[in-house]
Amino acid sequence: MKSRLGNSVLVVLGVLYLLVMFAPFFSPYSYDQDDVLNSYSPPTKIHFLNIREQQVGLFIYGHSFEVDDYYRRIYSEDKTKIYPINFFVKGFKYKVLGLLETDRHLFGVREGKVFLLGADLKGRDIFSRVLYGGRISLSIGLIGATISFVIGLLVGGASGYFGGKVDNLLMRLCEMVMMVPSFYLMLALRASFPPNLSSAQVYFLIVVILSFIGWASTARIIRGMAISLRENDYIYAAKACGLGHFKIIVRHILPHTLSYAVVAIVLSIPAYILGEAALSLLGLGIQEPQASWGNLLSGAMGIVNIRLYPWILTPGLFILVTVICFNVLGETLRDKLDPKRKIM
Amino acid sequence: MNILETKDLKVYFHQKHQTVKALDGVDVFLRKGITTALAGESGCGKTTLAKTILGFHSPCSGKIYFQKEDITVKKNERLIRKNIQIVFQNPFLSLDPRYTIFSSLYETLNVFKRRSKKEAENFIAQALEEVELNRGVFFRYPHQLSGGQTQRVCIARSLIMRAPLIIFDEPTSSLDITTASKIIKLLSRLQQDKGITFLFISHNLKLIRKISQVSFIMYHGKIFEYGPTDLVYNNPLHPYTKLLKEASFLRLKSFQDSDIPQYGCPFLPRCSHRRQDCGREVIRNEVESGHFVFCNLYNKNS
Amino acid sequence: MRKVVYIIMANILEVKNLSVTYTGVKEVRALRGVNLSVRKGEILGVVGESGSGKSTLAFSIINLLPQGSKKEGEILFKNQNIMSLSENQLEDLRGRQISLVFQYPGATFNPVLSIGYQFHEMLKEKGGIKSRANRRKIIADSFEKVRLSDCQRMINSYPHQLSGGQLQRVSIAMAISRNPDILIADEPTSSLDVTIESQIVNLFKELSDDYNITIIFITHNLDLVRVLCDRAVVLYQGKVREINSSKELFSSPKDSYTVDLIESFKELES
Repeated sequence: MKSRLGNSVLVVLGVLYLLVMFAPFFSPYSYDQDDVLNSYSPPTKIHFLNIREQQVGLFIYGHSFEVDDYYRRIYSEDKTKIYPINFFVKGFKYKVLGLLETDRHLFGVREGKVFLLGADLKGRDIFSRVLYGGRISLSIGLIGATISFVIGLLVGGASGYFGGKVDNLLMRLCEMVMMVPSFYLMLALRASFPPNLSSAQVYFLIVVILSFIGWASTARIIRGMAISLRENDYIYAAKACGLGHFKIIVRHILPHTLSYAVVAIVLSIPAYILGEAALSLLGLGIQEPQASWGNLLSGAMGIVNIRLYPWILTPGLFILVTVICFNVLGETLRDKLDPKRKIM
Repeated sequence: MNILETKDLKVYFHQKHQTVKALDGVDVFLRKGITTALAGESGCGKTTLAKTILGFHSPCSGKIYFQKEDITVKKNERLIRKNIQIVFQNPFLSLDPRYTIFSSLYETLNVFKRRSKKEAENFIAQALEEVELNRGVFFRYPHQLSGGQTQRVCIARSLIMRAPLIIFDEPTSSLDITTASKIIKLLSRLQQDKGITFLFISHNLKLIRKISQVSFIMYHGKIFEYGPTDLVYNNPLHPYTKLLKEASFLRLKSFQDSDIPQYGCPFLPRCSHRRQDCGREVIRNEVESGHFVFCNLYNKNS
Repeated sequence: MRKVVYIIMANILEVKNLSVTYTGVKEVRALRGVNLSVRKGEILGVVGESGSGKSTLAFSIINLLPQGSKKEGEILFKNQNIMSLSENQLEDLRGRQISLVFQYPGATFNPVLSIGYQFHEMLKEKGGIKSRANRRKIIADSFEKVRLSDCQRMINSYPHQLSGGQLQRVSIAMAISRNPDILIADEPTSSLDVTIESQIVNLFKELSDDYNITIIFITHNLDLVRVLCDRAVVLYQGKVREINSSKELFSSPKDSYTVDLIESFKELES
């Protein structure tokens, strides 16, 4: 039962990563293609059959809007205009994984606009932006978790293996990092850098900040494991053979903590996704027009917007699903790798 | 000639409420090319002595000389690694379970001199041959081998660097009797063929008599008696050695449990021959030629 | 078929054609058709290397095998098949009629409860002895039997405050406190020092002499068999290779495996 849940979660995550990896192919529009005429356009209804016009197959109607008394746009379908949805259509140019230049997209319309998940204030397609934003949100999770785990493993391994003064020093450092509430630490770290950085620099900065916050708790647990591992005879045997400390840590201590580490990495990824979302939501992360799930949600701040245009919350749904998936995956992995629950 | 000597070696472990004197003024010497045994109950400091010689514990005072070179100083660590090897009690714990036999041995072989895998292969095969194993175990993991085979691999690992001194810390006590007897035979043969110096740690007096030429008896961080194994075994002098021998024939019956006194002979509470002067400092007495005992019962002038 | 007639001496336990298979990732046949009998008042040694099925034999006698293991054959205790007993009857059997002493005395006690508490609890819950005074008397008696002198101090101390030898004696005291018919000792000395081993072995001998307890002594140490046991069963890969009086086992072993075993034993010992 549990493993079937794990498998289905793995499938969901696989689909998500595939979608974002080939985001330009799956998205009909570019992330920054705005269209003032379609500001806050609701999700486009997709139809299959129109008997009067003798139209069969996927198509959408054209739409137009009227402005009501409060200067809000009320969109309505214009049933006279029929735009069939085509597959593998030509659209904007992009490179597949940065290598192959092409302009084919999975689907699209030649005329009119198709917004699967509606459009935002500037009339940009939310579906496309979610896919593009996922590239940042999902990769920050993986990269951040990996970096902080490499730091955590090395620091924890060295701390536990050497003991004594080294241990004391490194652990006090860990405690200092852990002492500050992580959200404030995140804000403080971000604040110490200039606000006007290029999007690549910001991306890099966020990864570094998140890994800086994450390594301490890992280091502490790895240290505990290393302390019990270093008393094993094979560590003494390796020392007796003259193997260097670094080699002993990397070859004979850290591999034994790996099954724990893998589980912990997976379980910690949601924290990175949420961390990035929080920073971007506050406007300190990825900047417009670049999309990330966090700054997509910043458009949904304020109750009026949510009430009138609920579809702009869909990036939140993606965050929710991803976080749940990673948590379930972590739990399943833990059950698989560590059936006795010795560690956690 | 002594290949290794310790001079008044003291190793204390400081715990929260007390100081444990793991080694309390130990003088031992290992003659080159023979097997020296170190016997005592668990907790007497046998393993601590081995680990101190290897530099895993640093002594509070005292010196260890390897071929006249003081190895308690940090700069001589390389000297220890090149010349002293160890084989532990439990072979499954002394090989990293994540690596094959080949990569474990290859790693050892590569510490001081880098060799290509091809080159190392012959070295390793040769070392395994010396312990009566063949190339079939190359790519096995420790858990796929029997206890005896794994212990042979550990012995091969200690041989591979051609160290002149190897310490065996109860190498047979986790093995079955048939396997143990084969390992003991192997060790005797290796000793004769290669003339390596062995330090054999055990709690079994019978085993020590089989394999060693010189024995040291140890109790609570102190040496109680030493001399040629024949003399120590056949004519035990110290009451504790007598007790150990009784125990090895399963004749020991009475129970005595007590704490170790701060001063004087640590064996005092368990000793049936205790006298007035046992609470004072114990001095060394030579009873037969080369057979020494640390017990005031043998004081000549009292 | 050759029929072996033993000297008349009541069999208290008979194991008939016992096979045990552990099912799991890999099927392991731990015991393959074991036949043996235990006579009243004797010390029976069960010898074998690690993996020979010694402990499996002990656990199947008190029916404490892990879940998912298959058992075939019969175990007759006082002519009653243990394998057909209900869980309630088994509870009654364990401890009162057959009790067990384990290898690691440190692991048999709960480290956060005092020795006295654990002893009292065992007597109250399992033994059904409600009166505190009665329980005290039983505890004092059993401590005396295992030569633990300072009874009051033992009762008030926690497992970590006692030495391995003392703990093993406490666990033997608990095992014999309800006067069981059979005491199964599963390598009771192999985690202890030589001096303690000798003391414990002699304690078993005295218990058998003084109180006529039947003891099944499981060990890999042939020396213990020679000193302690009346008869010995040699197990190898789940099969009985030889059952013999321990004297004859050493002087004239019959089975080829036993011959090897005795030879390597003598090589090490003499």
